[in-house]
Amino acid sequence: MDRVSLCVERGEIFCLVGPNGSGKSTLIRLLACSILPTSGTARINGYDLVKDIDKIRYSIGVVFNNERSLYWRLTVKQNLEYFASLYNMPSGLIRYRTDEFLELLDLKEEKDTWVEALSSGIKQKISIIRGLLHDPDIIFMDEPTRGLDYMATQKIWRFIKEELVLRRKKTVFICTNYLKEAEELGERLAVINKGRVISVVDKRIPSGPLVDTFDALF
Amino acid sequence: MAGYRLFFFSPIFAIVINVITWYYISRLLKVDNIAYNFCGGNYFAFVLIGIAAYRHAATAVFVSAINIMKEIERGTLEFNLLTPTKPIAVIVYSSLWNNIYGCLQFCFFLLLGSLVTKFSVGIYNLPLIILIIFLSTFCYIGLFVGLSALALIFKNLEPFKNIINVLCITLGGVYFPISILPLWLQPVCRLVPLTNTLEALRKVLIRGASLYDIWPNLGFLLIFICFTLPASVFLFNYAVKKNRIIGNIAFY
Repeated sequence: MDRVSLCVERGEIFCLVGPNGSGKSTLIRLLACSILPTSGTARINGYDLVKDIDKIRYSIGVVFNNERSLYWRLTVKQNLEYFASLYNMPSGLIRYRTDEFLELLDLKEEKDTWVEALSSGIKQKISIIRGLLHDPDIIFMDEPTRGLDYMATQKIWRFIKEELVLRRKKTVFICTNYLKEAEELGERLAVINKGRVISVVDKRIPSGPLVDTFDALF
Repeated sequence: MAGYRLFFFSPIFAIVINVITWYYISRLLKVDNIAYNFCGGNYFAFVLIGIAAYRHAATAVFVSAINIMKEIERGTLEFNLLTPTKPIAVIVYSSLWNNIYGCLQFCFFLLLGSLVTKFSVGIYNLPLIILIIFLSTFCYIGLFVGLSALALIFKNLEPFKNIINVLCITLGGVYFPISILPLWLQPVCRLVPLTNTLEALRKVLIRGASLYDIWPNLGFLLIFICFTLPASVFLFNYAVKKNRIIGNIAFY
C-alpha cells in the first residue's frame, strides 16, 4: 500500500473499487488484522490496529470470497457453529443467530448439508453468515457477491442495505471490482490503483456515472 | 461419513496385524542377548510396547502437524486466526483429539498384547503408566507446536517429519534397546523423549518397577516439557507474526 488515508463513518457503506492487483484485498486484510502493517496507523472502531488487535477482532466481521475457507466435510450448521464458538459466544446464542441468518438468506433447507455438496454461490452466502454471527459493528467484505447469480446478488445487496445497515446499524466496508455493485451499494467510494487511493467519490454529491469517473482515471 | 468411520477403525486392523507379525518375529529371534535381560528376555513384550508408544507419539505429533498443513491448504487456518481465540489455543486444541486417539491406540495395543504375553498391569502400577503417558503427551504437544511453527514458516512438513520419524525409530529404542547402539550414540538417544517413555513403560509393564525406579526417566520428561513447551510456543507465535507481516498465512 502507498500512503492510503481513508475515513469511514459509522453506519456507512463504503466501497473500495479498483482493477485486479490494485491492492483492494491487501487493504481489507490489513484492516481485518490478517496482515500486519509495516508502517502507518489505523483505528478501527476507536481501537488501534496494532495495539488493540483482540478488541478489534470482537468488533469486526470478515467476509472473504474464498470458498476454500469452509470445512467441506462438515455441514453448514456445523461450520457456522464452529466458527462462532471461536468468538466465545454461548451455544444458545450461536444456535439462535445461525437459524436467524440461515432463514434470512434462504439457506434453512441446506443447514444439514455437507458444504462440499453445495454450489459456490451458497458457500459464499455461508461465508457472509459466518462474518455476522458474533454481531460485529463493522463488516469487511471482499467481493461478497462473487459467484452468485443475478437474483442472489440482488438479495445480498438488499440484505446489506436494509438488514445490515438500516436495521442493524452496521458499518460495511466492501471491496469490489464490479462497478455496478459499487454504484448500487456505496454511499462513498474510493478508487484504488497500485496500492494508492487515487480518488474518493461521494454519491451524495451529484456527478456523472461512476463508469465515466473510472474511465477518466484509467 | 463412511470415510470418517473407516479412518477411525482402520488402525485397529493395522494394530492386530502388527501384533500378530511381531509375535511370530519374536519367536524367530533367539533372545539370549544380555541386552534383553533388561526386559526379562521377552522380546515380544519389548517390541510391542515400543510400537504402541511410537504409534502414540506419531499420532500426537505427525498427524496433528499434518492437520495444520491441511488447514493451510484448505484456507481455513486464516479464518481461525482472524478470531479472538489465541492462535496457540486453536493449534493445541486441534491436536487434542489426535492425542486422545493416540492414547486409545496405545491402550488397544497393550490390551491385545496382554492376551498373548505377560504384562504387569495392576492397581499398583496403573497410575504409573497413566503418569508416563500423561508426561509424554505434553512432550508431544511441545514437539507438535514446534512442527506447526515450521509448517507455517516453510509451508512444507515432509523434510522435518522424515527426520524426526527416523530419529525416533532409530534412537528411541522402538525395535531394539539403545544399549546395543554405539557407546557414543547412547547419550544422544537419552535426549529423545520417546526413549525415556519407552524405558519407563518397559520397566513398569515388564518388570513391575516402582516410581523410584523410573524417576530419572520421568525427570527427563518433565525437564523436556519445561524447555520445549515455552520454546515451541514462542516459535509458533513468531511464525504467525512472520506470516502476518509477509501476508502469506493463507498461501502454501
